[in-house]
Amino acid sequence: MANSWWLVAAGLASADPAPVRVEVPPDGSLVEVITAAAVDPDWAIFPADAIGTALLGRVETRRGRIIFHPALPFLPGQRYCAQWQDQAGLRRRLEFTLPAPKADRPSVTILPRATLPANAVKIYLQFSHPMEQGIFLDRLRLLDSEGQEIPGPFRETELWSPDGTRLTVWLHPGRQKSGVNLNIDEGPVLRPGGSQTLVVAGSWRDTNGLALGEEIRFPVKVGPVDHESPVMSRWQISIPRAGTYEALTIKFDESLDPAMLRTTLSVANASGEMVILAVEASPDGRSWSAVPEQPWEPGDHELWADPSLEDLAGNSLARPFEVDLSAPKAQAVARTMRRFEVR
Amino acid sequence: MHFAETDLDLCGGFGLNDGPPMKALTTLLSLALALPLSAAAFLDSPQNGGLSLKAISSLSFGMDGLLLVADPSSQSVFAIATKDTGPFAQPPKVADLAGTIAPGLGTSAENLTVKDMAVNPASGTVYLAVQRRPDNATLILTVDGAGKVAPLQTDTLAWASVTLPGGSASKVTNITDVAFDGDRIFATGTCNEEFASRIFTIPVPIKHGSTANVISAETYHVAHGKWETKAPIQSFIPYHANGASYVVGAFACTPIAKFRVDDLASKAQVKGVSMVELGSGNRPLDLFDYTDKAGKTWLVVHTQRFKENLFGPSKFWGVRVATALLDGPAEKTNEQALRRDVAAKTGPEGIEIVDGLFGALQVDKLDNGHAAVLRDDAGKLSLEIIDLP
Repeated sequence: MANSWWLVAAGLASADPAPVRVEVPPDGSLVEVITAAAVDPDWAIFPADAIGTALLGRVETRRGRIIFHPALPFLPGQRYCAQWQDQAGLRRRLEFTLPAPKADRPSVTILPRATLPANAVKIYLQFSHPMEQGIFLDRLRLLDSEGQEIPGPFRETELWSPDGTRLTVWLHPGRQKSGVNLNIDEGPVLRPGGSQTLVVAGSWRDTNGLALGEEIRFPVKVGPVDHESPVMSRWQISIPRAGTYEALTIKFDESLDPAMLRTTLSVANASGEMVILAVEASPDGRSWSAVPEQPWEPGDHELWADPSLEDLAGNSLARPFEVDLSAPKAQAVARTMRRFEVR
Repeated sequence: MHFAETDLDLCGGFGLNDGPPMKALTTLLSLALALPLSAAAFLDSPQNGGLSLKAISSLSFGMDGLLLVADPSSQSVFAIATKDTGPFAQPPKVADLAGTIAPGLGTSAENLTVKDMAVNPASGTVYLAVQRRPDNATLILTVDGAGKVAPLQTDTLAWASVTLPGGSASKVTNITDVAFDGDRIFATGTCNEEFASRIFTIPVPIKHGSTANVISAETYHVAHGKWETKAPIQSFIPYHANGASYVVGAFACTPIAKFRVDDLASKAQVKGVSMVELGSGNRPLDLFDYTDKAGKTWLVVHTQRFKENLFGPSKFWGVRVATALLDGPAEKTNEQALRRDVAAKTGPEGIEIVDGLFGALQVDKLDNGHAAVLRDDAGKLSLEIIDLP
């Protein structure tokens, strides 16, 4: 255990209670009471402001120790009251609090920072800290150009990055996809040429309980629809010099998904070995750069793109987000590799 | 971290003559439970104890108390031999479930979300995946035939976990559903960055530490015969008809579609065939099938409407669909699929509203005559058992 604390707990009928040591690990996963007097645990822990219903959990008793494993970890900042019976039959109790961690308030940014096509299907909210989950629809609003709330703009499915800091906000695909029921009945969420506002409620808390604080407004500019796949041959590649750590830089002819850009481009050297790269994507999705772990070797290299890489309307290199089955099938196999020579 | 020296007055209420404080619920699944039957036999190289679930997106049951848990944080499916194998007992109604359990979890009802619910068909015990805010801590609670609510104690249970494969061709960051199908387990996963699903299979017995197979790289949806787009599967059940195996799934939008899954090469692209449309503005949440007293089989589709419901008292509602409709001819599929009128209380034939599902937030089959329903009851969650028609 990283921390331990000595306490003296007052007994109900004794002026000289036995000393008690209580330990709680930083993750709040258990509480351990060490006291020679504990023989009959008869143990319960309550939230100090809700005496009456004990915390769910499992009690483990060892010689001179009571270990309580709560069903869910103790929460920082909350006061708890532990009670048990000691060797003399006296009911003992003590209170303890896990301190709230010293942390800054969470903050949030929006991605991409670019004009969205009117048929965009997703945006990202990147938070500075892992956030509480299960309430995102209550914490987000989308306003139209007149400041009126757009009803039902988001898909209800909640998708967080594994570290809990990035939320994918889907603009309701049922309204954004052509020919789908809601698109016909209610029209798309975004209007070409419009200017919407995404509003993030200041009450949204991080997992430590700290709220964003103030309401945050992100302007969302909307351009024309985009039904075409990105084309790799249109990308401008700035080739680094051999023997340097210069960045390989790519400028795209349209904004691509900035989150996907972090994982969907790779480089192989002349031997076919993958070059280990530190990658950055611009917030507007218009450029990508990568610095090698070792100096660039002279010779041919290959830039590989995962066919799933999308633009902001969900059109991937492999296929448009929507395929018009009534149109002639003239689509060529997507190109996902380009060669370049490092000199 | 600090502790405060306290005395009786600070905590209040207890004295020497008081009865023992309400004891933490330490005995979980009843001691009356039978010894493990064959659920552990579904596990290969299982672990014992030490199970840690960081997040839960879906719960499902196989045979003999085999619990399947989808953990999106580790992109894994956990299979747990619960030893909860009966006898069968129907749980009573538990009013204000969240309010009842919240103090025991150190919080209040408004900070709890029930992520999923599954009924163990062997015992009737209801399993709930519960998440607490703001820390997103997760656990599984059980409600047994006596109405007792307790955390699932995993310390002595055998379990195995299987990872859904990574890599760009099959990356998954959320597991939308998982289901047992005898000799294999199906799971559907989505990626945070793509509007699509992938279907995975896990062979049974479930080998701990193994990786699932990808049998569908992408799923598609055809709308009105013209636009073909990717579409993720929200919920599904395994389905067998005419000697073929399918996954019958509800898309994130309205259609019920089936995917043939017994003749696929790994990582093949699979196009779902839309068989039934529930109409505009609905989001299917859960599926299960059952056989009524007359021997007719039905697919129950639990659904949420995006907007005002024109045919019932709640945005949460459900229908039963005659499974014969899932076996319809090709000319009755996709744009020609049977379609429900969102303004109508009844029809078309073979699709019937199940009144007991109005207001249901979570649903699962209890047996062929009943379903467990977690209902929004005037702002409070109540667990109750309804009769199936």
